[in-house]
Amino acid sequence: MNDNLFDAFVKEKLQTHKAAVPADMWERIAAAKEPNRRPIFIWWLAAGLLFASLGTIAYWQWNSNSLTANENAVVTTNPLGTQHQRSNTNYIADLNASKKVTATNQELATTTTAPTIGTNNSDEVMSLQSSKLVTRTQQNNFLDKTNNPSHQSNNTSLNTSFTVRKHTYKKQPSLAISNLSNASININDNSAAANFDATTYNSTIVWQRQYQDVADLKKTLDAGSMIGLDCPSANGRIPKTWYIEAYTSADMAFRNLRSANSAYEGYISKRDSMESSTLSYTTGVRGVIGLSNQLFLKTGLQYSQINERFTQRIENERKLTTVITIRTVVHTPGDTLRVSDTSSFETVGYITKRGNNQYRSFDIPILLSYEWGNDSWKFGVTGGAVINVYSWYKGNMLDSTLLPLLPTATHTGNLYKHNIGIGAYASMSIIKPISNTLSAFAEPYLRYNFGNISGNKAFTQRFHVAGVQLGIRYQINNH
Amino acid sequence: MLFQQYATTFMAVCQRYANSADEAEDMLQEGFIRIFRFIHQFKFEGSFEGWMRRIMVNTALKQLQKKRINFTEIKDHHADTTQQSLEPYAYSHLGANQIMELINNLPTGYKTVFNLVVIEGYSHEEVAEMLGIQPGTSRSQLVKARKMLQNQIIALQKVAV
Repeated sequence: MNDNLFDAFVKEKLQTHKAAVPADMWERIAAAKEPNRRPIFIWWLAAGLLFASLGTIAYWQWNSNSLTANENAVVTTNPLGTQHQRSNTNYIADLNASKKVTATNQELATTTTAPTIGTNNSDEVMSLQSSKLVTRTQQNNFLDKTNNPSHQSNNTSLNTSFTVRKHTYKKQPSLAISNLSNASININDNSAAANFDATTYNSTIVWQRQYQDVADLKKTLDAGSMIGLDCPSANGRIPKTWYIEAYTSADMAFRNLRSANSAYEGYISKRDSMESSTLSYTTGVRGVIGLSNQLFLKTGLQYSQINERFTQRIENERKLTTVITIRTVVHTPGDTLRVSDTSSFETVGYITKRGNNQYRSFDIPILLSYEWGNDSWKFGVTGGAVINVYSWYKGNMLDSTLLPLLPTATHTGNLYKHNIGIGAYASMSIIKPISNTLSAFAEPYLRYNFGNISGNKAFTQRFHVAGVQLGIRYQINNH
Repeated sequence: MLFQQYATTFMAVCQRYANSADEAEDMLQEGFIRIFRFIHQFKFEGSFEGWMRRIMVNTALKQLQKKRINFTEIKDHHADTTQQSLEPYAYSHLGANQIMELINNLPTGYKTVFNLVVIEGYSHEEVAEMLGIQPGTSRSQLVKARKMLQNQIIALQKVAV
């Protein structure tokens, strides 16, 4: 009963009790409210950067294929040697030839419809460079064979040699050019006549044979690399392979904490003794574009969190305990004395305060990966940059007097940067195909940050992270 | 203005849960930030002040739990000497500030349960859920807290005498 009265008394006294508020409290609240808008802006910025990156890559990819597309468009006006022209233009695109060369080819392809092409072409051939000579002579021969149905079988064999050549030169473009130059020397003497007589035809055969030899030689040399060559689609373009990867990694962070001058050595050693790394993690999604069968460009968005354990031992904590002993002394019936004895004792000890510090960040990785292997297992090495979009910190922090700031993000807002810049990324990966479109991978990696995360000039702090990514890869376009 | 109207009341609330003035200020700051952030979620069911008070108390508890409140009972070898409950005349003269001081002298676990049950009016089951403890622990902590508080009041009386 008395306990209820006691509780009611305390409640009545305290429920409406008021206490003084610091004068700057509203300013602090207003200041703390502002950063809440920032993440929304950062999300938009991150999305914009991602789209810009993907757009740039797509534009670059499209341009690399546009030469082939243009050439094919011209070739379709010439029904006489469509297959030859396609092979020819593919070859030029694969060798990364200049547009000037392409233009020359277009011109040639168009002029093949003219009945007097033989003479005109022979005049031009003399003034052109050797590589162009090959193309022109080749074109003349096609015309010749078109005008002479009896050459149809040779036409077919030439077509075959071109197909092989395309594949071979794709792997070794520099060697291919030199071989082509050599080949053109044989042709040049004969093509000067520019007549589709036996001499010209013979020169073509010589060229074909030599070229076939070169192709055979290249096939022999590059036997290994011929495996899994890109097959052109019906329109001559080599389809790009697109993947999407989702991954999560268990990380361990290595902190590099240094004082700016000797005055803060004590501060640094104190923090080193109080903060220790614990298991961290990264998770993200990235798109993968196959630049070739073995070379891949990767980019996406990832979230990283570095965890630290904060332990502080506060010494000389004093606790005062008061003990009141009440006893009743009965002298005689009716003569009772109630005696209260009060004593107190103080205990001195320490308390341990524990907390978790978290360094969080959103990053955009831009990576280049080289992969090899077979259908059962693939291996890869990856390198590139990780660009920080936004980072923030939450946790305990020692101030310069070695007292901890309270665990709120607002206190440490000016101690750490919100953008830590660029880091280098290197990894090795093992990929296990699960089905035609799905693979699982494990990727041990190392991230080395160049940027200093501390905004305070008293010390510099950087984190380097090592971890193992586990993820899945899904092939978006299946061709 | 919302802040001006309720800041002093909620500052007193935070001071009852906090272990220091700085901690109380941080609780108040964080509590008001949450109130402004989630004010659109108030459904006009019940008192607006009560809704804000719940946010403030939850914020205070969240900050306290980061320090891992210890709910183990403190051995008091002299506890059985105060079997009798305190008579109302023994504490009726106490003011709010004095009671605040006495409550703040309690261990964090005792103080938290006492505040939640006696002043905020939560049941032991609700307190158990909020703090992640057993209802029995909450009851035990309340009894011990009340007893320790009353002992402090008696000690004050002795000093006064």
